[in-house]
Amino acid sequence: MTQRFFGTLAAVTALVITTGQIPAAGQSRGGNGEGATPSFEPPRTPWGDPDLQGHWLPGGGGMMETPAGEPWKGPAFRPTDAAFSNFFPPEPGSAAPARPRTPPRPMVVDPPDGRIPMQPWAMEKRTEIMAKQDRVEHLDPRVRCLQSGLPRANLPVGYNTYQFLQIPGYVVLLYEWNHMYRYIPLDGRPHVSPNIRLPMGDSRGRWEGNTLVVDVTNFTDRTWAVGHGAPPEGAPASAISTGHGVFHTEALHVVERFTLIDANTVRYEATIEDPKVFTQPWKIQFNAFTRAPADHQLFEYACHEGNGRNVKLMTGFDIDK
Amino acid sequence: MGFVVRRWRRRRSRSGRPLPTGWCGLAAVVVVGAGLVAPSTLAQPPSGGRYTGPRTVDGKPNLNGIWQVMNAAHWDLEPHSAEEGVPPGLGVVEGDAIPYQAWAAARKKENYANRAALDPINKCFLPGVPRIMYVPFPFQIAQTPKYVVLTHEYQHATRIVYTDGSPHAPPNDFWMGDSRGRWEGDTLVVDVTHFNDRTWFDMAGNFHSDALHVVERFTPLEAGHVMQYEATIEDPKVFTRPWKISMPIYRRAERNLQLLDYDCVDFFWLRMRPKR
Amino acid sequence: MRTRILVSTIGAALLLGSGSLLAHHAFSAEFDANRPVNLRGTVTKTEWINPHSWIHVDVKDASGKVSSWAIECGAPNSLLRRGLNKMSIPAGTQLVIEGYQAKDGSTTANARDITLPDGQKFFVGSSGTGAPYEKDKDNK
Repeated sequence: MTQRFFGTLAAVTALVITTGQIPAAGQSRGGNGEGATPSFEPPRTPWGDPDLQGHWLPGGGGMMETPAGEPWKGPAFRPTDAAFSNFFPPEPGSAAPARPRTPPRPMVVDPPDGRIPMQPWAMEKRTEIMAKQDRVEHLDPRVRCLQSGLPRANLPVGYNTYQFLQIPGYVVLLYEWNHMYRYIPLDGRPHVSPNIRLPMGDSRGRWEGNTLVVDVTNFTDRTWAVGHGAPPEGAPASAISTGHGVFHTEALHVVERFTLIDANTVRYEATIEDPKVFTQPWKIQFNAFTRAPADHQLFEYACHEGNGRNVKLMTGFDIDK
Repeated sequence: MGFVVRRWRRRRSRSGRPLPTGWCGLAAVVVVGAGLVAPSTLAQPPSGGRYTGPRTVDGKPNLNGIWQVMNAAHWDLEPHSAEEGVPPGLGVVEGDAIPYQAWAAARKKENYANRAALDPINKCFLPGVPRIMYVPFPFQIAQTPKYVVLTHEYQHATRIVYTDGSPHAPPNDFWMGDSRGRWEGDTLVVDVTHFNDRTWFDMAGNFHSDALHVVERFTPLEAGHVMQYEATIEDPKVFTRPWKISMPIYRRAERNLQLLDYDCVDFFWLRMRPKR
Repeated sequence: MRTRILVSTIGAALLLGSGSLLAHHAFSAEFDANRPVNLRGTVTKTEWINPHSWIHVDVKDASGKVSSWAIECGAPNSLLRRGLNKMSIPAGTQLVIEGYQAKDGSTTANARDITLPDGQKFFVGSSGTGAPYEKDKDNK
């Protein structure tokens, strides 16, 4: 089962990442090399909504941002065959799985220079956060097993998979890592009171054609808006292009768009605004969800329960005392 | 969750008058009884009848919605008097007493004596099953033909009950177990296994080993405002025989209700915040 | 301790996402790629916890002295998906462990592969820590 799963996964992923569209004039550059959202007629739920249900694996995501300065200009990193086959061994007797193609563009598609538009004070603070990851008060909230926040929860990591469900009136997103969930009501009800702050925000959804648009507000300020993305080859952990350490305030407002672009791929866009931190709203786009093999299940990922050793190793802070 | 109870006791209404102490201060819950008979001296099931409420596309009782238990089980499954911060309870254990083996009964006493320090819920660890079902927080059910998913406001705990006929996952040390369900008529029967030994059943120190096996039965009654919940608990390392708890679970009646977030781990870190 | 991304973690990270690079301590913060180990030991305990599972083994050296090793592996869910579960390696199982020892010389190692008594070999490496098995052979 395991070998077949990995072989299928690799094949599906390679197929997905190599599918591309010619960018339409006037469109912002798409992440992963795609431009205009392909038109695809999705299957429908019994009550007529596009059907996004199923199990999903993290989609390919390359750099978060355009790398800053030398020596990281130029083509993005090259994935390595050896490493890939370690994590996705080929089926016995078959050829090694095709290596997925590197997405040539950063996830940040707006502003056009591909850089997260932080205000100068926020950039300084971010640099400080990145430099002090060995201090528990600055430590990545995810490492402390807080919920990911948004859009970070939808950014790819190797230990997270997803399940989407739909029932009348709701889309329900399940995240394997740290057993997170999001109910997205579709009935047009207003957001909750501004007195209520939620780590994953308060989501309100609607369908625009075949795209699920989700408006998210009421965030706490204790997550990072994004915190993933592969730095280019040679870039140190503190390089801005990791997308790490992008904190926010309670003014954070995220608008997400989920679109099934083919039977096995959900494209994800998020527009992120926080006038206290960023100079303008900015947008990421990439194919975030790849359909998992038919026998895929989410397993329990208990995060905080065993995390003491990890936190101690990273910061010396003993949560078990 | 001792510290949670303490917080409630300090809460005040907006006018500044103290709210009722203990768990009653939480009561935003509206019990919508469809003319239920009140429980008698022991935890008798409500004398509700055959399910007549809405059904899903595959003909099953529609359990979608937000539910919550309202009793004192989380503080102590067995019959008990009130203590400071602990509401009294008639008990939810059939036969009243949990049938511990002799060594385990002694361990339970130790647990009880040291419960503030030892209760894993006070470290914000997942409560396990069946405890998550009767923590005093609501949960929401999303039901499809292949999955009945329970998402809990408490610590965003999630239980995926597979009703697709799939077998249990490979053995593991799950906090919340691995749940596989099937419908027997209008009752959802859930088999839960692969537990670790790190959770308690309540705040009174009732515990289990990693041999724990739980079989739950969810039976919605009449118009669907209440479902009867039973859990048969077996653990041959700890108990002399299987034993059963039962209690009603009430459908929350408010319109536009949604789960919020009791992110215990977030509070844990706020408490731990190092002094500058 | 500073965490640092090693260059070639990016490769494997493409599909897995390299965010995990900073999700836990970097390999190089605790382990030494130049101290490979090949251990034969008897399992005493396993911990199926996140972000790393741990296998504890007793290893007997040539003189008969037994030392207790803590072996760091990947997250339980990734091991489950590779076919390992709690019953695969109960206490008493003889294992061969290939990995890298801790920098401080303690009896701790980050495992790449384990081999069970029946000869089945499992890759148990952690994803996104910059370990040597995440690097290309050509990429130092």
